[in-house]
Amino acid sequence: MRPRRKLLPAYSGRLLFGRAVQSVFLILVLVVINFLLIHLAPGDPAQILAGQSGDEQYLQFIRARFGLDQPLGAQLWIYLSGVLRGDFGYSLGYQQPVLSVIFERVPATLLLVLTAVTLSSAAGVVLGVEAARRENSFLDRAVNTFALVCYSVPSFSVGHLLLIVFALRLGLFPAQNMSSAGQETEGVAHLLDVLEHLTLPVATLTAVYLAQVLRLTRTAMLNVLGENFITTARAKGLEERRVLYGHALRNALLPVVTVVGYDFGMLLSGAVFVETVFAWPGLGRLMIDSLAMRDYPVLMGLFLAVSVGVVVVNFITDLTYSALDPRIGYGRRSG
Amino acid sequence: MSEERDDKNAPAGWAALSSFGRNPVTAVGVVVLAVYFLAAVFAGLIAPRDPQKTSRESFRPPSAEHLFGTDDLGRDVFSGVVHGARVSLVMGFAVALLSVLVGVLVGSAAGYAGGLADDLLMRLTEVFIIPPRFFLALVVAALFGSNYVNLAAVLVVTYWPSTARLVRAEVLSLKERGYVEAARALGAGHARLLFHAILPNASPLIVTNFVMMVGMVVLVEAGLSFVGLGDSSHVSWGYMLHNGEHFMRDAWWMMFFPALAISLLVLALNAVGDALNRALDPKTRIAQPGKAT
Repeated sequence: MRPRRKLLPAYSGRLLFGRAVQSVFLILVLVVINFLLIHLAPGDPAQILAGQSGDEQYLQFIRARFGLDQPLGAQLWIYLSGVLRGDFGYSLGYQQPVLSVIFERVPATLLLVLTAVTLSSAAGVVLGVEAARRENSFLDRAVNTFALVCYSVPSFSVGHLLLIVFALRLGLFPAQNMSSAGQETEGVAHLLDVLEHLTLPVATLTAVYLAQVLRLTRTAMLNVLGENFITTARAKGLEERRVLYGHALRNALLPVVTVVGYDFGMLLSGAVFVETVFAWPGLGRLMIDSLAMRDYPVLMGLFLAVSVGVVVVNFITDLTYSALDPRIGYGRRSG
Repeated sequence: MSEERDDKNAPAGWAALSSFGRNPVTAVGVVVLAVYFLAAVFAGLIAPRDPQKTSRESFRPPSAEHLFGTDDLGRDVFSGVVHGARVSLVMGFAVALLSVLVGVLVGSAAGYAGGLADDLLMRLTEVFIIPPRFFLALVVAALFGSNYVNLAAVLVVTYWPSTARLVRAEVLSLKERGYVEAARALGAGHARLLFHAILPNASPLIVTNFVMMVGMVVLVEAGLSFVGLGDSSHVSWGYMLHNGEHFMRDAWWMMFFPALAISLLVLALNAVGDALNRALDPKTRIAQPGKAT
């Protein structure tokens, strides 16, 4: 048996420590940006920290709570230490702390986004490799055109199209929500119900992500396939499948993982539209609802949570990168 | 016009673009873009009606009188689609132009100067690249008001870093080339080296980045209007979609034509961007901005 490759080789440890420190710094900067947005916005900061539904008494409470009569530096400290303790404020609209309002919606968005990312990555990588392998063939052109169209059409329009055709006209799938209203189902029945509701939103989001992954994989593969080590691998008499998926893809995946990982914010904004179109009860839907209700604490809390999520995913991307990169590997190559 | 192309003085990158014009897909893309430009400029002449004017003829399906039908308030959808080109094109081009300008300045300064300046500028870029663009735009629209100036400002603030990174990497590789060395040996100053030797050779990449960015900005603007946060002073495709969503079961034309208008425009921009990219370099690089909508 081959020894397992260590995930983090020792000499890249210092590099990753640097990235971790940088991530913490970026999170602090994001909290400051959030604070500045609240104070630079026209109108009373207390109104924003309270949300539109707060009355005068509540505004007084908020002013005292956030020290709004103190100098800006002191206010920043109060805000910062609150956020670092996990206090994102209180939502009058939902009668709950902002953080629990947000956490309630996380599973729905994760289910949607992770399913779509998994499906689109698998399909996108395979299609991208096959397209690059036969550059300028019919398959390559067809796949390319499909990706270009998916990359250009707004995600909400893809959603509307699927919604009108498969839900409203053909009645194959439910149009809205995550499960059927009024029926308390459990176990397998509930799972199937959610799956049925999940199909159209996931199909929409997958189409959007797929375009991105496919285009990136194809480009990266074309670059790698011209390299000397591919010629060497072929000259060694390796079968083509191993050359493509073993040698070439391993190197081509690096830029793909980086771009997809660094685009986590994009993935989530795609989810906002899909959740809006299909009334999927996730973070995107929450964002739009809190906008409509002028529930600013939830809005700002979400913005902060999403930005911190982006920093964390970027960091995870760096970890993945060093695990994937054959050059940062532990001195041995597979294949 | 002489038959021979004068390649000696043309920057190397642009010479590579000679194959660009011969691609049929590109030709179609350019024609489509021209149609959009004409529609935007002559919207007042092309549109048969005032796109904001309501009438009693609501929910009329497409006909000879109303090419794309009418909406819930009896407004002519065709006139709306024609006028909508203005918002999308002006926003798309203005935001992309400003972002690319800032990005080129920061990126080339960082790449050319190197050292501490490079470090500082790249740290700055990292800070600006983090806040998710669409969410920041939503927050700014909600707190500061959703008008075109605010939206454009947010988008420029979040779009320039990607260009800066791209240009920096390009400048880093270009400044080691022989002809730059030669120019330096001949006594060219920093400004001359950067603006006459290095940047002209990075310009094809910059133009490609610009073209694809216009498409992405058009999508983001439409997305913001679609969720109800656009500037409502002008007719926009995103707003028409926002309005049409309530009637999609019966009045499909209210959403179909604006969606088609957005998709075709962005498709044309991306097709031209792709063709530019391919013509640039047989080793295709990844100059693809992320899609937010």
